[in-house]
Amino acid sequence: MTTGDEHALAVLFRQESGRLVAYLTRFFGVQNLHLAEDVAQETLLAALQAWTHGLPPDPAAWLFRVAKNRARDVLRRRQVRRGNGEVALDSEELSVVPADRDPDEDLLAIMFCCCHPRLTDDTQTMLILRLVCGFGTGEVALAFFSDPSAMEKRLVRAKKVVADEGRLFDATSVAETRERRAAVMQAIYLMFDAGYHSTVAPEVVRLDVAAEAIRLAELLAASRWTTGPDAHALAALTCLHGARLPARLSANTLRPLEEQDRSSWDASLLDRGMRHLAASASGIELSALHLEAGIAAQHAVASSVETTDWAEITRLYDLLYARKPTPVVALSRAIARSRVVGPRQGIVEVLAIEDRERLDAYPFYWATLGDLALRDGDRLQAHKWLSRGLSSARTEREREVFLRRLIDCTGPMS
Amino acid sequence: MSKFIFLFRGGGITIQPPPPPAELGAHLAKWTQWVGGLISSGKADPGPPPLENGGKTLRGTAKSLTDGPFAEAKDLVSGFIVVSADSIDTAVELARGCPIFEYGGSVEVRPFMSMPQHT
Repeated sequence: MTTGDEHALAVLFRQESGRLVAYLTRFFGVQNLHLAEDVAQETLLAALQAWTHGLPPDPAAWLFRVAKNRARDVLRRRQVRRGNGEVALDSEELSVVPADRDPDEDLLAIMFCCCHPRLTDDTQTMLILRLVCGFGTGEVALAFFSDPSAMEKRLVRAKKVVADEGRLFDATSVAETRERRAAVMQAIYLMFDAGYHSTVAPEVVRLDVAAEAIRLAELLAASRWTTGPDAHALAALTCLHGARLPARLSANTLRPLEEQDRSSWDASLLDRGMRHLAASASGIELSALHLEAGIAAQHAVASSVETTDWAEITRLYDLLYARKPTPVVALSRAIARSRVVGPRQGIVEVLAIEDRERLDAYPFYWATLGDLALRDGDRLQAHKWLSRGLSSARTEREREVFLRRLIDCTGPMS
Repeated sequence: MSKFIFLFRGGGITIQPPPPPAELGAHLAKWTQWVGGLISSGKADPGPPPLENGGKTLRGTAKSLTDGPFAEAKDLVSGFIVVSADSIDTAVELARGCPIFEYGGSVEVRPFMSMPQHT
């Protein structure tokens, strides 16, 4: 028996919660999703009670066994009906349900269920976090800067859509998975983004959200039913950026690239990212994901901001903008170009971004302008832009970033 | 040294709605650290395993049998450990470290009766 530290056990419970819900959903049928969630929850509570003296040698197997027994009890007590009225499974059949089926396949199946076309992109991501990743409603709300009761309503509605579908997705059929692959990848991408870019969610939630996105992206790339060059590109993108996330969040404040301690980047994630990147190049397709992974790789292989190949990054951003012409991509491109053409020209290009007004509420936009003005030595202008950013900051964390930068406007030039 | 039983009532397993998985996991870690610490320092008896939640209750002259403990959630005995301490005050100090209070549970500290030895 072993004890565990708080974060390790929190992650274990979360991930096992997702696996249990996925497994139990196959038992009860997707229309009885709530039942799967209830039994998964009871199983975790049983573990809380049973493991106070220490963990069993194989916690996942313990949970799985308890969940299966409880599922049998539930079926004995009442006949669970599938959508068409027939009894789901009796306990005889239940023992035949292959217990050793790959739990990852169950996870993929429910993940594809969550990406129902009637749900918005954001909602699909939130539902995956809730069901597949075992996040509590409050944690999902934190990750998306939403009110917990509004999030609860949103998730309840979303679960109903999935349950009403009446059948579980078959994640072991290439034909079935093809329909929703793009949606699933988009949901994982958004999940990673919520972890990586959010300045509103608390640090520990962000790291966990990003880590889950990496896990799911690698799952998608590893399954022979869902793998493909684009799945590897997504896995590469999340691994390569994810490797830098702890350094980015260090010392309780967002660290820009220049100030990150590159030796603290996660070597194992960088290595996996590079291998996914190599695997992503097997097709003929050059998707936005490939380009973003390529950009992440350029950052990852450079030893410093100075030795980064900004010309290549700019070239990749040009290609990306052609496929994804959003103001945020344009802003990133301008930042990369400013390393080639200088900060003054960078400012000109930022101010020339099409639909620039859509960035007004985006604090990072003002931070970028402020940084460029500082690099250009124009402290007065930097102060104006950063003050504007400070007023659009949504959290204490964001305010700190701007306050720190504003001090740079008044201190001695470095 | 005297022996005491710590009776745990209510706590994380009984509150509604149940906390999310990560919170339960982090809470469990505190339990394993607390109980593990008491056992490894020789203060708690590692013998008896944790209690199941289910069970039967016999009641009254008719010995009527019902399923389950049927207590209010906050009164449900959710577990126990046997602890050695030199006084009840020391035992109470040990009980203060119990994670059950995070979820509004209680710890009842009861000394075992010291029986006179017949010689």
